[in-house]
Amino acid sequence: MIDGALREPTFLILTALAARPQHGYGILRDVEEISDGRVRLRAGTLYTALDRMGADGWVAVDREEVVDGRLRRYYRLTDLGAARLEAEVRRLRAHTRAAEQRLRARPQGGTI
Amino acid sequence: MSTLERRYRRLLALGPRDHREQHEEEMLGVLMTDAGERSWPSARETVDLPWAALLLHLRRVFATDGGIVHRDVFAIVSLLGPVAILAGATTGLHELAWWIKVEGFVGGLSTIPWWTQFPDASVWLVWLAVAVLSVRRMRRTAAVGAWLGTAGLVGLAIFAPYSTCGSRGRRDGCCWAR
Repeated sequence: MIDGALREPTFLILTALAARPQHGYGILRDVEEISDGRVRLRAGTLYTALDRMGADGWVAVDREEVVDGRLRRYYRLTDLGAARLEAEVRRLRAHTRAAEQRLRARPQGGTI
Repeated sequence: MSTLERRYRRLLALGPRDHREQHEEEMLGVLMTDAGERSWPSARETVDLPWAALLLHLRRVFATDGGIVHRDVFAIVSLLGPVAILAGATTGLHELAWWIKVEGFVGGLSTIPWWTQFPDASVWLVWLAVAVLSVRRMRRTAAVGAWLGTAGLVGLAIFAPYSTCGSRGRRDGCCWAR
């Protein structure tokens, strides 16, 4: 497992899959919603990330279905992927806590 | 098949074969759903899909996912090989530029002693064709071209006329008397 920080698209895709399996288009929309519209992934970026995360064992195919003649493949977070996401959340939380403490310690009124 | 679908398929065809076999239909579904009433891929998709294809190829070639797909290695080499060899043609382009600058475009092209100054021009054309064929995935024809191009380079190394001076020497009258 790689211990470095996750790239933002990777973090958001793992987050989108954390609660339930989703198909490609569902992940794109969910990532947009999670990021409050700030991150809008494209299909190429999504499937490049899924290819990598699948190779790392973080996501797996859950099921397939055909809707309006189009294939939909659902992806789910594996236990390994969930552990990686949890590790990233802990890392981010520690950084956030440190940032909050430093901001509280900042002299009131600031400096010019 | 709609025009938009055909355009998307053309972009998706840039990806590695195994990825296409596994994900092309699924990606097409996502792209078509996202497209709405458009009849052309968006500008961002036109950049995103080839970029994604490049990353997927590189991942397979450099085994960042733990395995090498040899077919993709050959595909990359068959493209980069001719490009690397064509880079050797830049010296020749400088020569050509000098002739055109001195003699004008038509005059330069008509008075250049092609065989002595550019003995390997025909081989460059062969390698350029190999690069184009590789991009178009006509690998067998590209392989034949690569063998011909290699044979041409070896043949020229043995039989081509030897020139001891470039444009500067010619200007000083050391090499070729007009």
